[in-house]
Amino acid sequence: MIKGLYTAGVSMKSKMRQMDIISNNLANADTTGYKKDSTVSGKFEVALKNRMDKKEIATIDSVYTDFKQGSFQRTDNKLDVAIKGKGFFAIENDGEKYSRDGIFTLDNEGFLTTKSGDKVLGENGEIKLESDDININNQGEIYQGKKLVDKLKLVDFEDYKNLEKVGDNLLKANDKAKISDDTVQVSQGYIEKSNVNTIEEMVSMISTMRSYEANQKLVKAHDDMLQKAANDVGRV
Amino acid sequence: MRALNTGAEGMKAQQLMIDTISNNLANVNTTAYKGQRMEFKDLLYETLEKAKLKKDGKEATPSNLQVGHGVKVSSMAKNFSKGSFTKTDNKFDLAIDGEGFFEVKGFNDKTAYTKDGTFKIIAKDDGYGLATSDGYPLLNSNDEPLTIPQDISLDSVSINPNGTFNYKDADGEIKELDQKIKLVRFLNTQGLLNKGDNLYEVSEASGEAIVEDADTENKSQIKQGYIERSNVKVVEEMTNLITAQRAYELNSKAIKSADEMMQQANNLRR
Repeated sequence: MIKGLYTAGVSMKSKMRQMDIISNNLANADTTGYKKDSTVSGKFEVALKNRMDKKEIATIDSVYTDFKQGSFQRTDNKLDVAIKGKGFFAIENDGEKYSRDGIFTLDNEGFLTTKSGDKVLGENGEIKLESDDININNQGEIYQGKKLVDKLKLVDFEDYKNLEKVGDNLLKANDKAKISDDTVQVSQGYIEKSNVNTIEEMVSMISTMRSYEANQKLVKAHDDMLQKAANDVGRV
Repeated sequence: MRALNTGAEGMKAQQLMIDTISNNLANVNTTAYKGQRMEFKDLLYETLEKAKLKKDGKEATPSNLQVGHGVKVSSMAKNFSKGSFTKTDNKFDLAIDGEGFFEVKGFNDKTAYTKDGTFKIIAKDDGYGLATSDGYPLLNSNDEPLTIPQDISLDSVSINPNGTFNYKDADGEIKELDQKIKLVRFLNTQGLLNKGDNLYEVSEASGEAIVEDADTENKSQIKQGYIERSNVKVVEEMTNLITAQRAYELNSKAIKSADEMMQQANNLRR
């Protein structure tokens, strides 16, 4: 019918989705190892052409995760580790999943696990410890007393676009993981905080809200125009 | 509206400033801590209209029409001025009066530098050595960990301002040890990397360590029995804290005003 109505409607839908992403970021502003999401909007013609060429996802918005390093916080907990650099911990949860969340604990059999009970993988598989009195050096090697128990499996990916968030601070990869090199370091006794910057999210929220409001006014204006056309034009 | 993002950049920059100030205040009692200062720079400008001279019948515009996009942190300068010295009664507390640094063998056997002179005695196979509280050994002028032979009584050891050791041997004669403490300095101290644990590491920007020897001008002197205190001035940091907090508030006001203006633009049509 009226093209302007649909344009405004699509824009409002897009802004709603953006608000969802922003509020998810703000809700996770304090989650360990959380990486914030951002949206990018594209032009309609580009999306249409992609769909006609039968390329994948042809929506106007796409969400991408920003893997910037978060800041460190000292906890002095022997089982807390933080990664400095590009890498992920490998966690066993229905296949191999990945995470930056380094708050670990021991389960009742002595395996090193995440807070949700999923086992953390070392280079030789699951890590079994006798007590929580361990030392982890900055290459990820776990020492119990003087004995080297295992080395934390730190992996990295070519293309972060193929990492998908699946909840519980875990990421699923559609790509093959490769073991990280020496540039990635871990620090025992520290945790990596969320990389969400509350100021940026608040400003995005203001901007999105005002844009939503402007589009809403547009819808109302179109509605009034249609009303005039429908009711007042032929009136005698 | 540019003001929203400019305000956000301003708030982020002031937040970083407060982070630096609180780090300085937290280290107000750390031996030989050097205070940090943030330096800001403005972001790129969008030129709406350039200044031009009168030509082709068009009028001259004497000034440019440019709008900025906010602020960014340009660098974190470390203030290497001397802290005050305090006398302790420890034989092996050393303070450096000058531009020099001690050289220690740090983590993973990498060379690190420090001005923190609170050294402790460690027992080794061939004698005693001096090490920092984390156990990193102090190096002598031969690039080896300093070793005081076992048979020398530690009570009689005294350290001269140039880093050499004097001790009393079994007969009561004053003799000199064959090693001296290595002191180095850098062309660009600002380029040193902070490693934490009161240690610095050399980087490309700082230049290589230059050993202080007999020919160096203004040689540093080692004072035994003293420690150098942090050079953070609490009054200055508190004033900066107030300024940063008010700047944060003003930037948030700018964002609020921009928001209200957008609301008014939207309400032009009820």
